[in-house]
Amino acid sequence: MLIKILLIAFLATFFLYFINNSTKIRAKAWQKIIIFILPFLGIVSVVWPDGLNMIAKQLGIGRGADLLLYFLVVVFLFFGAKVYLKFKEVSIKQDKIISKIALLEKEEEE
Amino acid sequence: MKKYSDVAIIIPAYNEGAVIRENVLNVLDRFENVICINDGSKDNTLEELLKTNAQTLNHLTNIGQGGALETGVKYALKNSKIKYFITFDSDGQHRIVDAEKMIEKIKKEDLDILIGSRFLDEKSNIPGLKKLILKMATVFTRMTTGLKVTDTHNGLRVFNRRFAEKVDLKNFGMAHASEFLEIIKNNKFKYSEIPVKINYTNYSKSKGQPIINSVNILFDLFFNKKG
Repeated sequence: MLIKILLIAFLATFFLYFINNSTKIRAKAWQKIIIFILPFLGIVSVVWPDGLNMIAKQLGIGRGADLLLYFLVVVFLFFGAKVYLKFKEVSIKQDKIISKIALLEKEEEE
Repeated sequence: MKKYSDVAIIIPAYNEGAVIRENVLNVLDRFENVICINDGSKDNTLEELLKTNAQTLNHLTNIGQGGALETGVKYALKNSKIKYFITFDSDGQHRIVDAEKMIEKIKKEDLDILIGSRFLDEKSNIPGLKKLILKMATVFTRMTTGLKVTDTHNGLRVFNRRFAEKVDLKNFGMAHASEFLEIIKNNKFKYSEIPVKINYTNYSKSKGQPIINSVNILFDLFFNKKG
């Protein structure tokens, strides 16, 4: 029972944190929707795990826990790919800036 | 006697402190406009460069050979007297006579870019596995760009202003070599190759391009096509 309270508390905190900062966070509209729905679904599955089992059975997966695991893997890979691409983009920008600085420094020197 | 006042020779350098000064001085003997880019070296490369008369630019951190070339090209473009640009490696594996030969040829044949090829020259003693991987990279690049080149990853190139103005690389790592070819293709530039000899000295072999780097070249080719 304790774990349920902790999980719900954590998900609720995450949800509230996001709402409070949602104007500052630059995310695409559909990303916002997902972030809004996820903690809600999390709470539902903590309170009512049988629901998860039922969905899993409908999808041909034995248990709700497996469904959760598969879901987690997909989300993790997606998240990783997104962070990687973003990192590449930022690093190209940084490289261009370093090149620019070298040129400006040289100009200043002359 | 120095000549080539209309030529800029661009030398990117990363951790070449041991040999950079001597190599740059040799180039300075023949060329007036020598532009060196210290690409965030961790050793004394920058200090050694500043002891020479080369025009030296400094990257705050290492961004890759392609990035250093781009900085050099952009700097050279500011000098309106420069008509031709040479990219030259800092570790002594390129020969100055080849660069001079290339300048004569590009002027005579009015090309946009002239690329050095070690495969047109029988004298270059290319280590076995490296040869295989470079050949693979070449076959792949021929397929994707349709350009008839024999050596896609040769750092010795000469190009004119028209080409230099198009240099805006996405990949600052090794894949920049393929991007040079894409510039040719996208702008329908006139190109040609010329045999050059690569000095695979013990120094360049020991530090320059470990075999694992060839894997990077292949990986870049397949997966890092322009972002």
